[in-house]
Amino acid sequence: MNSLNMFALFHATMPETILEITALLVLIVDIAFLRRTVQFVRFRVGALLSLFGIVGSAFAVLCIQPVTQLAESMIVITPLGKLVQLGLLGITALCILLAMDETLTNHVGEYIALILFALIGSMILVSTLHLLVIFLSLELLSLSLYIITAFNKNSIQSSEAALKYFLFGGMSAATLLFGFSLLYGLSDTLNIASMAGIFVLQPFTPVLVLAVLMVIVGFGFKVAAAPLHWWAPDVYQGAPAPSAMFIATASKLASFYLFWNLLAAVGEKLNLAITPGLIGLAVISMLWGNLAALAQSNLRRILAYSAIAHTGYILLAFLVGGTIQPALIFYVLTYSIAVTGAFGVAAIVERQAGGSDLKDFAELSKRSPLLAFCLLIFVLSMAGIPPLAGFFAKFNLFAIFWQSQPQLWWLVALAIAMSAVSLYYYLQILKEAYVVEASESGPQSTAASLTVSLITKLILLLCALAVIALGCFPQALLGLLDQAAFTSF
Amino acid sequence: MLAWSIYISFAGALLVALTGRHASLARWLALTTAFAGCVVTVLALASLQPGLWTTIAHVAWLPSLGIDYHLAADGISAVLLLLTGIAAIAGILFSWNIDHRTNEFFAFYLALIGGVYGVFLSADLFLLFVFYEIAIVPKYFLVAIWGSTRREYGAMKLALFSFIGSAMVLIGLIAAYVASGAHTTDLVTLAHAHYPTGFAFVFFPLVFIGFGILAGMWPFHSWAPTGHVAAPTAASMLLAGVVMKLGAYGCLRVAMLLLPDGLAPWGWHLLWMGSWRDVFALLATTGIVYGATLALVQRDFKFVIGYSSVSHMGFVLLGLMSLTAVGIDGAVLQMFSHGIIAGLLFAVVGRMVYTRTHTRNLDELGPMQMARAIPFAAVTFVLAGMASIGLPGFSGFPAELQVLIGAWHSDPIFTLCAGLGIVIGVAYTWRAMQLSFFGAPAIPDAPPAALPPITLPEKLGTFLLLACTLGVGLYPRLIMQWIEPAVASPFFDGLRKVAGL
Repeated sequence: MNSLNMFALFHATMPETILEITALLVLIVDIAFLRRTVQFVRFRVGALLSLFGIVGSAFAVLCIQPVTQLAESMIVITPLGKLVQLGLLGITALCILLAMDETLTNHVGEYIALILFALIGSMILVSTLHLLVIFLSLELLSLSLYIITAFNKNSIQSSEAALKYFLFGGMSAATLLFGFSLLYGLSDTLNIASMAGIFVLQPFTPVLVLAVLMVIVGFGFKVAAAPLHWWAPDVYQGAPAPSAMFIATASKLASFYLFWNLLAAVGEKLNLAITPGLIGLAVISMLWGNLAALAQSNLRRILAYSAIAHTGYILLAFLVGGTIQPALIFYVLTYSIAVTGAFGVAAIVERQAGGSDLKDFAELSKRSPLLAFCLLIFVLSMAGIPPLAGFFAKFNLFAIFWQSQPQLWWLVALAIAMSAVSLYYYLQILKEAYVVEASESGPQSTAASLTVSLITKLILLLCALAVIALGCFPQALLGLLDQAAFTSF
Repeated sequence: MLAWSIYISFAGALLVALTGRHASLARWLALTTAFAGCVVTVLALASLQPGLWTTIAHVAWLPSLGIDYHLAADGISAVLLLLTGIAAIAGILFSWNIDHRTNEFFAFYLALIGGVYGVFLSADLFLLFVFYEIAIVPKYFLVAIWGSTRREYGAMKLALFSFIGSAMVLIGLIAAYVASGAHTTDLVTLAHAHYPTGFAFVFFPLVFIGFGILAGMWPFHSWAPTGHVAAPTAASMLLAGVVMKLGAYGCLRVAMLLLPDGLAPWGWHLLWMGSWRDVFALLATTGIVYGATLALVQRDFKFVIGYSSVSHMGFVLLGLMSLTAVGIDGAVLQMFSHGIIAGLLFAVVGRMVYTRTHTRNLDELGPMQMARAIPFAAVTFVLAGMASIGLPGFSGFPAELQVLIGAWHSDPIFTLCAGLGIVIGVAYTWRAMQLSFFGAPAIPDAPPAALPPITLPEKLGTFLLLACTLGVGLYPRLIMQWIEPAVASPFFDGLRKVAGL
């Protein structure tokens, strides 16, 4: 074992350290100086502080050199991993900025700090190839998420969601840990970078398949793949908007990236054994996510089921080798922007109309043309309508998938067919926003125009423009990812 | 320069959306945009070689997938671009009375037009698909927000049918991209690629039906009548006039060019069908007769026109499936002709009649003595009806005649059935005309219903469309000079080989 170079370790974890300090600073400032001020100010100060921290951390990410094999792969920094970290930072910044108008809690400092802790967990998750560190950072992420899900104490739904999330999450963590321990027992190492080499030499054993299947099940929970998705609709609906936003985006991005690393580690040989499992998850997710979404009448629940469907599409990438990784990350990133935006719009409507049922969105185009336009862009992007980012992400993923797995082309056909089905529920959202007149939807007058703070407007508009721009010029981001992936191997 | 028709339309859509509550500003801006688009098209067409697939713009777009931003035009695109320009202007003239959310209406409208221009100009399959989808989304909102009878149902049905069609096209697109191994989505390169045996037999029908859904191909046509009926006048004019042509254009330009081998005989027969060509010719003929027959028994005036559209689009598909130069020429001319005539018919029914009487029920329209109340509408309908049933002198005649001649070479029986469809066409047109405009008053000698007079924009739109159908009918070479060289170009060599010409 190499002697541990503490300085190198500190250098490599600089981004996380900065975030850690920021989180503590947010806590201290809020508790020490802002207890008696209004929430409006507290949220703003907290958001501003964490924004500084996130920017600083992003600089640190840009500055650190790629590192491999530091302390038995406890910290592994690749160009692609750096891009994913930047993505995580960016998404979290959006979540926190969109949280500024929230009034959900009196514990503002704790709330923002917990989001930052979750961010730290996800950051470490993408920069390690060590089973123990993976599990620890995953728990840091999950525990923070359980708490921020429950954070709205006035809402019984919030507590219910958190309890469900916690119980299912705990089970998945147990499964995952069991899988990890089997992997460790079989390979005698915690370093998954060297695991692949060990498994290649070993005879094929059922225990190994069991271990990998347990890992898949654990991650299936985490990314809400059907039939392991039961927590998702309740959490998406019950959690405070910024929490739901984070769970739907950053946590997913990190999990997918890590899942990729894990599968790559167990080697080619196992693919034969786990392919049917992955195909099963993908197919069930696509079918169940899209079909169940058809019956929903709440925007957040629709987003939850659509997330399950998207997970199904994304899982296709895991059936292919290395070349599809940039496409996968592009997909998750662009999807995350759209989902963040959609939750942002939903949060505003909820605060002023009292709920996120579809009928609460009636006449949105009259109440706030800008919000309606942003929602239109986000929803159409999720539906995969060109020239928006979501369409290109799908096309790219499917084209590469078909190219590398021609015999599985029916999966692409199924995915595209299910996207056509998904149009129905996406159009239901837009129908409320654009088509329905208030007089038709019910007696309550929702026609009062929405008041939206300037900064929120700007952020949502920025998200919408990003979705359009990434759809028209995907090469800008995809080129970066391609290059990073190329240099990562 | 042709490419500017796309940019002008999208820029216009954006500007119109920003006009806010100034309804008349939005109208004039929209009209100016449509006019500019049309003028640019006409000017650029003057210098276009109809027989050549001329590149207008070619920029690398997504090098990692081999996708280019590649625009090109030949005679066939030229004709359809011209149709789009004319239909866009006419549609705006006939929706001058829209005063509910005017700016949004015209913004969606112009976005749709921009997408349509884009489809007709795309030389890259991926780009074509992008524009194709851009054209679909605004349709939903146009119908759902400003429509009439069961608008939300009609709009959703229309959108879902379109998206199912485009999903089929997308599957075919990715399949061709992967199977060709060419690492490009350029249409010409893909058309010359070698596909595995049997590939075309699976994916040709997929793509053809995918586009065919939008072209109103029986039995996937059912979105068309409900959609047309639900849509506001301008939207039904565009739906029948331009959007259904997108489907037919896709059938010709993408399905038939890309995978002509799919039309070759299977080598065995099932129920007298020996190839996909036979199957689709049968579907087209069925559509002609079925649409005409249903139009004969409708009580809603707009349903009559809606089903007649299905019938007339059947001629386009039959012409394409004849696989003869004459037949394809006729099919393209029929696209143009039907675009103009259907626009005119929907204008009469939706704008001139319905907005004044608030009914489209033929039984209720009869006693109003429309021919005396609004003689202009009656005359227009008579002329449009004559054009629609294919009387010589109107554009429908040379178009359907060529289709029938082309189809006669390959399928005499289908041709006879299609001829029967024309006869039924005369009957339903006559019936609708009689019942709606020339009905007897409920009380003898009662005065005709008092209706607002026809406005100037309506008259202008009518003259524009009538001039087009008459001009092309009297002098078909006006359009044929664009179509014939394009169909005869080496571009269609693959198709000719399959057809054995």
